[in-house]
Amino acid sequence: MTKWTRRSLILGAALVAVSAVAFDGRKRGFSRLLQHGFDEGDLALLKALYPNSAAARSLAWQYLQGGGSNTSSSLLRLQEQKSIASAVRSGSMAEIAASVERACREDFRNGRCYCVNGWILAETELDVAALHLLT
Amino acid sequence: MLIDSQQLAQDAEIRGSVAIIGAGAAGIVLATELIRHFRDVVVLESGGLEYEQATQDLYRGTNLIDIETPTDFRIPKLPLEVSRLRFFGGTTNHWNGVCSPFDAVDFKHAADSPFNEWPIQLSDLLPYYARAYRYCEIGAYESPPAIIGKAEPIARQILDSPDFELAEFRHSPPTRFGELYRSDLASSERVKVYLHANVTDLSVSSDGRKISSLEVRTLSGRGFSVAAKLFILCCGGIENARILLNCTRHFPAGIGNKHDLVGRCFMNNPQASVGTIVPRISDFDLGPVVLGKDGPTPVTVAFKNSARVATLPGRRGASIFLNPIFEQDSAVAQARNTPSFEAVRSMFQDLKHRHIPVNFSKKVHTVLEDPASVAKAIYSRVTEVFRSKKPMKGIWVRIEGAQPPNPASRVMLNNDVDVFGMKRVTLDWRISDEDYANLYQTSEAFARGVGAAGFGRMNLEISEHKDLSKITGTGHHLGTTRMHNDPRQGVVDQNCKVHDLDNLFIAGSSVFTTGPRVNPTLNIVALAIRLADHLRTKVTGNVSTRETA
Repeated sequence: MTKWTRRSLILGAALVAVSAVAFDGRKRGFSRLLQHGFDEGDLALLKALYPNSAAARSLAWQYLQGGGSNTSSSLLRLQEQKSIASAVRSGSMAEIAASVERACREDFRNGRCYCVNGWILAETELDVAALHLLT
Repeated sequence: MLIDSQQLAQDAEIRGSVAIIGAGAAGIVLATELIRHFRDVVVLESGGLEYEQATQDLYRGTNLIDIETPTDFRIPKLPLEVSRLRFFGGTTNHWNGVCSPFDAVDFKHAADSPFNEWPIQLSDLLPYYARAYRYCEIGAYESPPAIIGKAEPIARQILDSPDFELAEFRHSPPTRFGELYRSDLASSERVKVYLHANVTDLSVSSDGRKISSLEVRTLSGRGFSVAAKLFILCCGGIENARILLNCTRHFPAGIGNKHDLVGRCFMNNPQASVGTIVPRISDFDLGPVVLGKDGPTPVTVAFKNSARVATLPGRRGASIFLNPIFEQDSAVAQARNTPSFEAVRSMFQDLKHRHIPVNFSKKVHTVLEDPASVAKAIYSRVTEVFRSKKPMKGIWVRIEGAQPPNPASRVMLNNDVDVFGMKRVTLDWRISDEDYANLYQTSEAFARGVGAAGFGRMNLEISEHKDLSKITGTGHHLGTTRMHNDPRQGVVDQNCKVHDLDNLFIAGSSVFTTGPRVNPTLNIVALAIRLADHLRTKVTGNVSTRETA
């Protein structure tokens, strides 16, 4: 065995260790997303709040172009709202609509709103519209 | 007693105790109040008892655009001879009758304006509102108004925001002061009302401390003079300044203009249709927020910027009015949009304002071309109270903003003269960036409040970039002879007496120190009653018996 081989072994071991840590971290993060995030079915329920998908896409496009957000941020914000997540898990459209409306009212109270094409709209309802651009 | 000045002898010398120049809301109220305590009150009215085109033409002037803005951003002009009326009763002859008293904020707002301090407070004016309400036929004054309590639950469903409060706007019949109070003045032996009497000069005593007499002329060529102990100028926000600036015999810059203030700080209530609310519920009953009743008096409860917001630096007061838009039968809507019905509507508006309709024969011809549409539209309008309402498709939102004084916004004389040789006026009304921003910020905050209440969503028709094409004036001519106890900041003192002159007073909205959030007429009347009480106290020494609500 040469000196070179020893070095290779040390580097190889280090690489494996780093990969293992990275994989574990990624695995744990992914688990978190799985635990709290939305799957395709959940997204479909939220998107159903806008029956006119083309209008929602147009609204979302103007919102995102205006620098209000990006689709990932919109998705994350929606996932982080516990009442919305809980309503989505229930699968009840009435509950989903009510939870989104409550969140919108809170947005308006706290100034989290944007002017899109003249309409003063809440961040949450725009985030929901932005889901129509995801797929 | 009513006298047509055209029947007077040439160079007649009339003597009185008090000479009131102008018989609009302020002049008529002053005369009515003063004849209880004074004999030989003289009222000089430029017009007759009815509209006369030649007299109205004396109001002609130039209305400039805001010269600081590009020419494609024009404020729709409001011709000076249209926004005011020059005959007995003055502009109340086409007044729409909206009344709302000042509140405390109206006496001090616009923290960024150096000219914003009234020398009086709300408490100085409150004792006169009970009488002012009676003059304007709007029921009994109450503070706070009971209808606000009734409107609050509805308002809370519409708006969730600490930045707004409610205010009452009562609707006068509207009172035509010239018609309603004419008989009181005509039958009194204590007052002589001279019609067709145009004041062309105010003569100043040799020591420069007093007005000694007025020079008066008629359009038919008569001239006479009026001497009195006290003189009160009540000709409106533009004409008061015009008369003072035209009187240059003793004071080259005009009477009361030692500090170059006469005509300056012209204010109005810039207004805009700011947007439309789309409500979640189409059959929501807006109740008194659109139109309610307090006894027989129609009342609208509108929103106002809160006192806190109205006094923030860069902000001003504002009143927000809501008007529901209902679905219409498409056939009726179509009929209402035809040229023939538009011609009828236009002629009706002209007649309502006592003008002969413009292009009368052409409009009649247009109507005759399509009488069916006119009939359909009129029938639907007349019968709409009997039919169930269609769903509300939106609520139109209109905002009237307050304006702080700006010396560059002014009335000034130009080189054009009227038949008496008096220079006509140029009105240079300025709308500052802050005035515009106030309208936008108010509408945006209102839209947020509508969303926070879950009532619906609002679409804004104005943007944050200054666009004067969205703004119109209201016909409220304010400022130009402002009230301030410092002669370097105001033309009249807290008692409406012109600084440096012992016997000249001014009544009307020209004495407003700042532009209020509300319509001026009721407040002009309250200030006129206050002035009448002051003059009585000044001359008779009697302590004023103020009447409280």
